[in-house]
Amino acid sequence: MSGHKILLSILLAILCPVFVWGQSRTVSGTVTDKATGEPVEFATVVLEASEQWAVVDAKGRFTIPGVSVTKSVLTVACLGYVTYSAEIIITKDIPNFKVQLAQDNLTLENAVVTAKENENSATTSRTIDKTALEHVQMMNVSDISSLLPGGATQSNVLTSEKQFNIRAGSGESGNSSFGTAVEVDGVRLSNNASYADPSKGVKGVSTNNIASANVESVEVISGVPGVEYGDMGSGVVKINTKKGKTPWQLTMSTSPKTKQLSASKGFGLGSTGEGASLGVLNASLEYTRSISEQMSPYTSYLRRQLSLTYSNTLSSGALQTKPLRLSLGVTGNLGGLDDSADPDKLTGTFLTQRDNSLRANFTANWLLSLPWITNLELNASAVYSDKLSRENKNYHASVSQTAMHATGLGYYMSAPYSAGGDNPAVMIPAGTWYNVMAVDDRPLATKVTLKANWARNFGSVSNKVKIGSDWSTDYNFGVGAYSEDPQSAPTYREYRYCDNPVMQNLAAYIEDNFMVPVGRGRINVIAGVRNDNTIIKGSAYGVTSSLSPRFNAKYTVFDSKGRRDALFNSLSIRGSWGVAVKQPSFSILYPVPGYLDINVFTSTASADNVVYRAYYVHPRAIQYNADLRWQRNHQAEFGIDTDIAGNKVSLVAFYNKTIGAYQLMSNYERFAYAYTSTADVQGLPIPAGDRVYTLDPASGIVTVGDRTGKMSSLNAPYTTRKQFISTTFEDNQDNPLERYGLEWVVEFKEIRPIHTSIRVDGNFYSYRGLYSDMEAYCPTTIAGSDGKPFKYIGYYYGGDQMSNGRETRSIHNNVTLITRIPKVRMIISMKLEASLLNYSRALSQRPEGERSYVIADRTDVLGFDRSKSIYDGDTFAVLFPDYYVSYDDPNPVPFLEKYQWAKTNDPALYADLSKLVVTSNYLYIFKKDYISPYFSANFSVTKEIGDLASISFYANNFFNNMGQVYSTKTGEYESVYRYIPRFYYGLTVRFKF
Amino acid sequence: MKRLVYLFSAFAAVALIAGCEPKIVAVPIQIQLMSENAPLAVEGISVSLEDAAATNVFTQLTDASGIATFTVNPGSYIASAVYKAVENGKRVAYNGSNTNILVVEQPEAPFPIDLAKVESQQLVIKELYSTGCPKNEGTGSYSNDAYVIVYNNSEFEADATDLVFGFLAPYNGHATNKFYGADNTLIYANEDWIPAAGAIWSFTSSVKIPAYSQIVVAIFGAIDHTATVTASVNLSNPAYYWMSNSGITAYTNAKYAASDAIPNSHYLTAFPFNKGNAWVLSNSAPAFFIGNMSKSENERICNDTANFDLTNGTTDTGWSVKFPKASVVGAIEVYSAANIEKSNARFPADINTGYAAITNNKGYTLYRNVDKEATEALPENEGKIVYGYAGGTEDVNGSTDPSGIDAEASIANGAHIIYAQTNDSGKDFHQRKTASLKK
Repeated sequence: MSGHKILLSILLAILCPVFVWGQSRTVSGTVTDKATGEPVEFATVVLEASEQWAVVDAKGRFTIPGVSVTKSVLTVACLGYVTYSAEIIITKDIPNFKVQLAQDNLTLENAVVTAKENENSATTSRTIDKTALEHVQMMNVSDISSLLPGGATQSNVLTSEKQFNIRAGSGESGNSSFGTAVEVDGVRLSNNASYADPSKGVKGVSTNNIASANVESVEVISGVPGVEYGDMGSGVVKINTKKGKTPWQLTMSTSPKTKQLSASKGFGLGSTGEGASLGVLNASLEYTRSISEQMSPYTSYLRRQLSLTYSNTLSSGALQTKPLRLSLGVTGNLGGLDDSADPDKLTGTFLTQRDNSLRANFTANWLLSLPWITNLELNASAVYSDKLSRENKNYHASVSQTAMHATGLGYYMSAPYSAGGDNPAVMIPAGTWYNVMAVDDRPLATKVTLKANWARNFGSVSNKVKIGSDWSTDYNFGVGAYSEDPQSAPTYREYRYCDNPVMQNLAAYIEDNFMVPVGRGRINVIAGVRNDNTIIKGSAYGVTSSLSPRFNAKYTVFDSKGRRDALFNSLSIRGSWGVAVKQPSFSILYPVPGYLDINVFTSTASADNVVYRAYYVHPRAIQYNADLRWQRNHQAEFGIDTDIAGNKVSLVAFYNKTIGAYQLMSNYERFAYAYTSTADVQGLPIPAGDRVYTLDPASGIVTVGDRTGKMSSLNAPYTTRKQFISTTFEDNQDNPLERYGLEWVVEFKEIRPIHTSIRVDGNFYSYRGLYSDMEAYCPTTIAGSDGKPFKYIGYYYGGDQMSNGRETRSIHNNVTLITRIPKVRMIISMKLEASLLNYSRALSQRPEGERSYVIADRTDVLGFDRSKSIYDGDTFAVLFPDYYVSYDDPNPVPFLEKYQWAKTNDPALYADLSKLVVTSNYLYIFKKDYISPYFSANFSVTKEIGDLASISFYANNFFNNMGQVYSTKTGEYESVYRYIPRFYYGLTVRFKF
Repeated sequence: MKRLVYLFSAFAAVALIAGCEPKIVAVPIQIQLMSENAPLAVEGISVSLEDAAATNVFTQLTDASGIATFTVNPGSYIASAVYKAVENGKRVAYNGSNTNILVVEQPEAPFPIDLAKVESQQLVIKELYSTGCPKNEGTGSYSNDAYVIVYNNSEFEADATDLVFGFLAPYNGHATNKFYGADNTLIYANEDWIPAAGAIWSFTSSVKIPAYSQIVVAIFGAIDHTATVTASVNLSNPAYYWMSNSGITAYTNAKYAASDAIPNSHYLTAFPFNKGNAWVLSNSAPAFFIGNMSKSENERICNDTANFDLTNGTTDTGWSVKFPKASVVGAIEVYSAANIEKSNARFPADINTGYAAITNNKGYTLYRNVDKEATEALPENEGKIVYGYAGGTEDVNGSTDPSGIDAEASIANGAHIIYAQTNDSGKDFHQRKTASLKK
């Protein structure tokens, strides 16, 4: 097809969708079990081209009326069966299309225990299905990351939180795991309502509370997803649980640190008198307990999950030709972390962290098959979590302590709790006590989606249009931190999460997906745009709008049809580009405020060890930042997929750029307060034992009275202290973060005589992040040369750390040998995971060159040598602020020039400015760090015992690699356990009846 | 009558015979005290002159020139002198004799006595307690009750006004020590400084310590700790001193507290140069020292970044202040008994050798051993020394005082104790079961 014809087709597809409607036909048939011949009720039949579908009834029949396409791929899927797929020509009614579904078990010649490339996708997408999931015996769904190209196996304990992190590494800027979207049966799991400490970066949603035994398949979209996916950065993980009519399935798993029991069944609910199905109810129950240490098996994570899903298709009466498929699911989880049984802890102390959740979702998919609309789908979901943490701690104080709860600016004198009132400075008597502090964190995320599909063929051009809108909300019902005994509570401030407004996001999107035959192949183009409007009523952030255009194109040069004997069976190339916008979390929008409590007076201790303390409280509420933008991720990738003589090769190159990554910034403000020294008060004539202390809350002046009345009250002498106070606020990084890489998968043709196939997968990954914001730093905890609080602030390009960025490069490669023995229903795999390149280097860069300078001697920081490079090897380096300001003079002063002057002209200033100079601790800070290659081997075997049972065993790092790796940066060896898990193993037994 | 004549004649004969002997004439001689080839011009030093038969001992005091004058008959003599004093805060002893004094006639020049000069510190660390004791609940350690006792190891009053207190980096003996160079020696071993960490404390008023007496300095809390921890000590005593956070911007830790009883003249102050809300004296293995330095000089060296050493860290979290070796008065190198093999010395050999091991969280202290010979030599101690010391420890790496003298009981008995000063922490200190302040 020539170029202008392609263009014409595209125009036709986009501009004339409604006015063309051809003759409609009906596709009917039966779906039966290949082995038994029994009808496969609830199997789903889909015509991919028109997106029309039907559900198989109790007699195994299905009917799709109103089919207007003349050619389509027909797929039939049902839980427990291998998905059937075939291309059909529909030039007339097809009355009796027969499909026989093969049971999905190890008698199959091509059972897959690795991630499978989604060959029909125009972007990088891989699916891990039930067989693979059972083979690796995952306990946490994030464990499937090891099945992605170059993925490395990690320890499978649940006592620490895990997240998905697609096409990103650990320890990087840009909150990558926060930007990975995770959905369970279409329900988005959101971490937006989290109040976790933003200074540690914002993490994605934990996957620990997702039952692993009930997962049917996981799809990972690493490339550019469709526009229906919003609120994300890079990567979508779609977890699909078991649905449909199934037998009882009991599973028992054990590994040294984790035990799991589960049971599930899909119940057919029968039919009405008129023969209409009453639907199917899936029930799944799972109990999983994981410990962190075998030697002390008391700190445990528990997951107890019940999942119920009802689904039915209404296709009688008025819905006979326009069936409506309904699904309603509810999942509840009770569990979390608990170390209260740990005998190594101080008696009575404990930490418990709930990880309870309730997920509910409703889906209605209405096949209208109208000239202007094919499908209408409504999704509604809600995820409520209860993450209450309680920690009982032991406290001891030899003199009375003061716990601060004041939130207002001013001076506060401690007073006993028994004094009553709303005492913001509670005096806790000397002694030993316990107190339970809790953090009530109960996020709720809801989402309603309405989307319509319209699928049509225009001649040989197939076109689908998707229009949709979604409305999501995030809110937190938690009340934040509180104490179960206010009398002895440590310092904390009430900050009720529930008082913060709801974050709403209203989105609309449109996407066109058309496929044009070209020569012996076809071109598939998916283009769309998404508009997000984040609405935060009652907040200064107001409404924020963003656009996310996305584009995917795939050119299938030729496919395997009719090329049985050709060397090249198939070849396709694809390219994608898109933008994704990540909404902020509540920890970014309204983070928990900090308070600076300055001890301005401490009395001497009385005979019963009572000490009065006064504090000046300075709230450090994180400021609203009007310039805060939502973090954006630009993705691009290019891929080639080919089949050469039965050997499948997939290569994908990607480039991701994160713009405006959320970043906690700090600044300083000036303030002054009155300070009264103990020594001065001790010098007053009123005997210490007779003193009564009062405080002026406004001025901070301490008055000392005489309880005997013999002497007049005296104002204690005080000094006025001036100092800076740091404030923090969320901002966006100025410099983009760049990630690029290459992923490869080669699946060699099976070596038939030994039933063994070899898969090679791996990735090359590169990251480079440079922090370029001008950031302030003041060493507030040390005194200046005058003995008073330090009075200078340095402003550093890229912050006050010696390095302002990092670059990494890595190559991971896995070789997997898979032996299938269908006759004995067994599959064995051995995977060698190799790290062939692990490189990193700290950077200190600015646009005009290096940001730090080489010094020969750290005591001679002005003896720097700009002609040398900090990257040249073993050398110390120095970093100067660009400029500084003082408490008394807010005008910026160029630092280096003044510092050099002060060395000979103003020793006191020189001494103070020296405290703003940063020098490197190690000679090798900027040295290239290559970690020597390391390896780990995993072994897995699954054996089915008839149709009744199956057993799987795995041993990870089964060669028990305990070696060392060499670091070129430090010149030292370290344990390989930093990079690979220790030897561990597990066993799973499944019964099906 | 005849008898009287005979008797008279006999007396006359005897007198005649006696009158024929040569006449013996006593002559004046001078003894000049010398030290290091120069006259020791100190008045009032007692010089002894003993004849060769050891039958006569003459004693005279020196004049302002350091000369003692005797008038003796010709003959052989031994002259000796002992002089003890405090010079520049150090205890000095001059001791010497001249066995070759031959008096024939009045000599033209004084006879010299070359006195050997022996220096030792007047003030010593008598006891350091920083390793905590068990809380009443039976678990957890309490170490807010740290203290140090400084003792005047001499018979002269000591001026401790300029005494300072500090410790070296790294905080623990078993921590990674960046001061060890490639040759596995301390990089400052041959320098004139040692790396102080955290802050250095000075007194804020005049402090005098009488002979054979002590002062107690509470490091965090000058309070009665026994009120909440029975295994602890009572540091609420008007005679005690307190390292006070009063007025120190950074030191906001609530473990700083002083009882009403402590007068503000007993508050010490410091000039922190490392980040932190308290002076982080290790509760397991500190390298603690006392020094002689004025408060103003302390302030200067702790604020002058040119005087900082960056080996242990290049920012305020890690850098050290160079404290002059010449100003060090006493030191104790402490190792954690559980980590001896991992520990490295922080004091160079010219300040201290050896280490004192301690097990933490048991209420143990490190207490200086008694100089048995010196203590027993004090004449005023006769009948006052108590033997049979049982206050040491028998744990693994435990220790006791080899002198066998129970110093505290002896002091209570009126004895004057002289403590050992070998500058070897392993020989000078032992691990004491109970703090000496715990009565």
